[in-house]
Amino acid sequence: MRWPLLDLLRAPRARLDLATVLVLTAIGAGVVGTVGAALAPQAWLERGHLVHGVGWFLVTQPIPYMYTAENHVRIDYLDEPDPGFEARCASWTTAVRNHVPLGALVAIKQRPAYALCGERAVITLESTLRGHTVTTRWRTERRGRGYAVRAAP
Amino acid sequence: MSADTAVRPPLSAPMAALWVLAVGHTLSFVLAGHLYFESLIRVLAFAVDDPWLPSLLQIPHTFVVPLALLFGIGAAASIRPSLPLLRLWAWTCLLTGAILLCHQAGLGWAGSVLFFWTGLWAVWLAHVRTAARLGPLICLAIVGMIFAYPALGKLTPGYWTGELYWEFHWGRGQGPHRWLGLVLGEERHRAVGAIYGPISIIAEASLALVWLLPARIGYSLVLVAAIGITLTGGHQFLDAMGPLVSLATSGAYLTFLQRERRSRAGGA
Repeated sequence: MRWPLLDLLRAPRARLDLATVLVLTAIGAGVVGTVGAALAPQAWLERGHLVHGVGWFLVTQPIPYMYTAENHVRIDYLDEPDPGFEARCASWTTAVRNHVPLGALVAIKQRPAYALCGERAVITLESTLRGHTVTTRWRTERRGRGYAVRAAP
Repeated sequence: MSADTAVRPPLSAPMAALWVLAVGHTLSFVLAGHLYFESLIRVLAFAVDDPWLPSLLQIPHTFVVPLALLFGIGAAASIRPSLPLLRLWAWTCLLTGAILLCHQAGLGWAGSVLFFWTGLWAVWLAHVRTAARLGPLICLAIVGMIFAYPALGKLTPGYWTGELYWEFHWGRGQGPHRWLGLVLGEERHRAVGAIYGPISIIAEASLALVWLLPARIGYSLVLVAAIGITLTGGHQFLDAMGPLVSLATSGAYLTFLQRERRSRAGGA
């Protein structure tokens, strides 16, 4: 029976080429990033867009945030909402309640879900991870066939 | 012997493993095609202008073109495997994964992550001389890392009690759960979900350490787990599980080829 790890350890003279070192480093970064992302305070994730973004890329995916954050979405319509939009929004809200993670890239990629909530709306996301709550607001409005999303104060 | 095999030299063990990966990945691409199509429809139907993302990462073209290229090259490399074509496929897989990870259409889509890591493994396999010797370990390490993140991410009360499985998948009748719900009744179905929660977390955490095991056992466990997740979870897991099964199969095939080579050398 072959034990791949033992095979590697038993051949100490074998030199690792640069590509192998890079791949092993990427795997190591993925593991460290995953553990770090699962344990890091949420405030860090909120502030450190770059760190979070790079971490997210290496870490394989933002699953730790997706699973662990508790999210609550509130939608304030600036116009009378179209009932069709409301129905669609309700289903999205259910879907995102537990899925929407906090933090830079991930939340931004999820914004289309919020944008579907009306002609003009302010969407407030309160996300709590390990007792720390961060509030994010976006203003959305219809533009042509699609929607425009902007950060709201 | 056909004329075709007479003129083309046989693939080396790493290239044969890469070919298995390309075939598996392309097949899984076909099986999960509806999921990619849904993502594309979302982008086309609800265009969202967001200043945070570069416009290139919001338009459908940058989503469709890499996927189409990957599928086309994957199909060609599967049918007529050659070193340049397999290398081209490996790089396309890596770049496609990297692009889709950042694209707006890839929201909540685990497949792009798997594409990226599958691509990294494929590029390494295609270019490194020691691939045959170290390949089984590298592949198991990547698979282990891929299992580590859902295990860590699911360490929450909701997943541990199985409540979130119920909310997202089981209660919605996904996969076999419509049938299971009818057979077991809601109360028993929920009770099974409550057992499934901790079992799945413990299993995924254990599989994160799969690279410590003998190759044959490790790959067998990974394949059983990935196929089991697809069968119990339903078709929406295909975008992630398809590439994962392909990845593990290629590593297992490389291990098998190495063992064959050793036994042939021993026999001679």
